[in-house]
Amino acid sequence: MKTLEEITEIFKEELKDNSVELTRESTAADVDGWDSITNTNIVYAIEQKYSIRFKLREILKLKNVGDLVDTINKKLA
Amino acid sequence: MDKDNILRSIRESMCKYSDKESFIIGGDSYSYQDLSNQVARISCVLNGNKQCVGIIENDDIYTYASILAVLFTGNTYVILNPHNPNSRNKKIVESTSIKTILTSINIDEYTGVFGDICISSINLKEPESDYEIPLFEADKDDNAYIIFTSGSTGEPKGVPITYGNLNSFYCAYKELGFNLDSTDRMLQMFDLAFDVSVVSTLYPLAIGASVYTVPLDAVKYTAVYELLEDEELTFAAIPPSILSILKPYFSEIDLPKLKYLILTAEASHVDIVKEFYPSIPNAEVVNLYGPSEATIYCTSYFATGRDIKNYNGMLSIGKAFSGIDFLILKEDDSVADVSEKGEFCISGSQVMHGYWKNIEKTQEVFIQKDGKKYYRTGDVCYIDSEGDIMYCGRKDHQVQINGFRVELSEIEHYAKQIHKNGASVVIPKENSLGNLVLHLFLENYSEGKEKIHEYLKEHLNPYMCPKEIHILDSFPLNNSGKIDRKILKASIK
Repeated sequence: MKTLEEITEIFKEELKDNSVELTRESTAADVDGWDSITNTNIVYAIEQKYSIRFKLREILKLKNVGDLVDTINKKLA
Repeated sequence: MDKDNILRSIRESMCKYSDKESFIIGGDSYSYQDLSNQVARISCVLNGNKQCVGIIENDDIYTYASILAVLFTGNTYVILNPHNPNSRNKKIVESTSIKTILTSINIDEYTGVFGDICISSINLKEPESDYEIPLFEADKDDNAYIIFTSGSTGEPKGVPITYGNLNSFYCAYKELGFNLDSTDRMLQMFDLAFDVSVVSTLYPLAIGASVYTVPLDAVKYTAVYELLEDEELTFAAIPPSILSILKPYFSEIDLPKLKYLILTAEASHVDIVKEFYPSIPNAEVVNLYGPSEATIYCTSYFATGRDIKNYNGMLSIGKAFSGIDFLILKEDDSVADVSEKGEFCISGSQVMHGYWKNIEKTQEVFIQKDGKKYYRTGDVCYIDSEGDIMYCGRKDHQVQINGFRVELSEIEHYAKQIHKNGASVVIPKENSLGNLVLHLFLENYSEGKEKIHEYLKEHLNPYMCPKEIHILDSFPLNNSGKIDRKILKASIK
């Protein structure tokens, strides 16, 4: 089971910001530096780390970090 | 005559299509009647005309109605982006003597920003009552909007566009002959402080079509894709960088309803356009070029169904709009021959009169030639044998290394042959000895510096090969969504 903590580490790395704090409810609007460009890097980093692949549709449906964690777990199940 | 005035056309749409959707914002739709009500209500609090009115950008109907209200009352709108530094917004407010700011978000956040400037801000969400849109028509030399761009001295540089400029643009744009009408669904994804937003908003309204907007904070590429596919948009103007981001997903994208894909705001690359073709089987790809100083766009290149003309991979910018006169001027300001490169200079009624309160800068960018006033775009172009304008890069991206003239776009072109998963940018910077050194920045590049270095050595003269290679996960972008070369340059130690 991948956790919020693991995902937070990826965000810290990709956003080059160690102060990133995420909750399941966090969205791009709440997190400094999370935008179109960094989003592609975050998705890519997650795909590499867990050897999974997101479809564009799946990325679209992610409304917050909780959705992201759940989608990763579903793919790994 | 009515056909030559964009605001009159919009007014007609409001009457003719009152039940039809004008805007779809965040999933909520607003009819032309809803829009017209909002515009009328805001118009009546704008006393007088010829004044600069600030609008704090927000993705809602009030903000778009405010733009129309300012225009319908013959005032000048100036967009204040809440994400820009406060100091910059303050400079803009001071320089334009703004007394009224229209906002649908809490102004209290801004009281500190604008200091002791007395501003009457108008809360847009007041209850509605019966108002009518005033029947005022602006003088053609009055300013419709002022776009502020970054100036070389750090002071925001204001580009004032008059009602005359705007209507000249409208006439020329219509002549491109887009097959669009009130049934079309059109994208508006640009920051309102960037001028492509003007045409992306006003043109659909002028033909009674529907405008689909993208939220300010959204992860834009997903929001754009979602609208294009789910709402079956028929017309979209986007910067090519959106295509670069979507590239890994092209095989999932299917947009059979799209009639026109406009590429604008930065140079478009032929490879990525061709790769995107299968996703847009019924769309015509059009490259539209223009500096803000000449009102949004002033040249067009229809790319579909032909062998795409390009220079170093960058799409041709095609033919000038009707009403635009242009020259290619060489370094000594003499007129270049066919196929000879020089600075692209334009004249005509779309071109601004001059920068806002900046005579010095205005004098720098205009040149008199054959009794006409030409604006120097700073873009290097040449005309090919068929009269198409070929874009070759920025004049200020052209540098001299050891006395040789180097065009940075040429180096970038070769870098792109090896590095296809992200952007490549060459930045010249003086080293401590005062010599200009070329730095190659690669976005999301994983193949090793040696490989690209060897390839460049194979294809470029030694003095053109970048001495330093920097690899970044992603490139910084400026307000217009273009790669911010200044930040890249500042990052070089």
